[in-house]
Amino acid sequence: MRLFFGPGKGQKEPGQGSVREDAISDQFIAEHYTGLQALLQRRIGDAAIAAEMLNEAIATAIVHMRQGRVAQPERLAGYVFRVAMNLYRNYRREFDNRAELRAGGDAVQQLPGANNVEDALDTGVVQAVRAIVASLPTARDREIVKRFYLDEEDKEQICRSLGLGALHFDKVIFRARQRLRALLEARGFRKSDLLGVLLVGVA
Amino acid sequence: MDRRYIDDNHVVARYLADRLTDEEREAFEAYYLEHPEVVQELEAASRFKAGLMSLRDSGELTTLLQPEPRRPVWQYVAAAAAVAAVVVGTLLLVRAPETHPLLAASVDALHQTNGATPVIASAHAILRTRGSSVDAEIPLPPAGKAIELRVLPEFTATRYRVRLFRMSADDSLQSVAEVGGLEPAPDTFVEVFVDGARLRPGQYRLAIVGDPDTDARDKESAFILRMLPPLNDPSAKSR
Repeated sequence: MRLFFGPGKGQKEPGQGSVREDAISDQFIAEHYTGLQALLQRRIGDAAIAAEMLNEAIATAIVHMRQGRVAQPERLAGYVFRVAMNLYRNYRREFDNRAELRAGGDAVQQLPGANNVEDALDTGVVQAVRAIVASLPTARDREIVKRFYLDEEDKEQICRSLGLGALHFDKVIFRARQRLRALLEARGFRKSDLLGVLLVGVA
Repeated sequence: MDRRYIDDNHVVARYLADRLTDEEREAFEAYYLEHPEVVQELEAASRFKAGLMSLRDSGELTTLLQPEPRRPVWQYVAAAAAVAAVVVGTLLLVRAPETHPLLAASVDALHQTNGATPVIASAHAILRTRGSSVDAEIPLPPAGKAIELRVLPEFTATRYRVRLFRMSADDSLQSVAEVGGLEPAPDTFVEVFVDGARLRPGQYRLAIVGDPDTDARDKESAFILRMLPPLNDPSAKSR
């Protein structure tokens, strides 16, 4: 599987030379990028590749910081996110272009570890997501959130099929977003913590 | 791209779903590099999506999406009877209807104490804040004092309407007050006054919309306010 996830042009292989710092550990990723890691893991179906993508994103961000390509330290957290998303897009593009590598859904489910993809998320997050969905006042509101966030349908498509006004859709998603923010704050997630750890790695 | 565009067009979720145009994606990436608080939202939305996937796989999501079971008819009859009893009781107890609004366009329209117009205890600018789930924290005043709110709508209208909702613990909304026909000040802020002593501490949603007879009647900006117990309230610690 790692064949599809090579280093970018001019970049070092993760874990080689001075790129990978001790501070970039699985624990660190789990604390600060657990959502992104879980999402990548789900989409790729391979925990190791998802973790490696994040490691590479962090390593790349640190290298670019040292080279002066990330002008302001406060941009580092976003830089990591952007690099990780670009790596994922490249991975998917390569995967899509190689039909012989694609397997059906049943085959993916039978792969070792395919049913353990939720491991990146702790049970507290899943409980909180369950609470958010359950707290939405109507079945239709829950359906809107599910179709928008999980099925990734367009707003127009959802509104059309449920006979909704755009305003109602916006209200439901606004409410879900507010709860998401509260969830994150309640769990003590702060990007500034991440920044501090990364800067220690850069120094 | 700015904060309003991101919120109005659900850019965070669409970015994670890879549903932005190339132009939008580049603009959004440039924006969140400059605004680390948006990266927090990306991480939160990622957790939410992954959490939904987990619930789907465990089969729990199907259960969560089910409509609540319909209540037996006798429960509705009992509830209606209870409501009727409360209404009748209230009509018997209340000697005069409340004529003073909780929310008004001018402080003079609020409830007067001993014939005196309420004093403004505090004034607050209500506008979109970044990186926080609450847009303003407002200490409630004692009786006879009002709160001045200067609201910055994120759209233009000739006249506005402000609605105030109390948010319950489960985030359901209960309408508290509403005032319309509000004209913006030259600095585009819209001013309203609240009889703060009649509010309870807790979270409120303030929505500003275009008045019904304006072109902006379908537009809305919403803000979350946290009303704090009065500073000298001896029971505040126990709440």
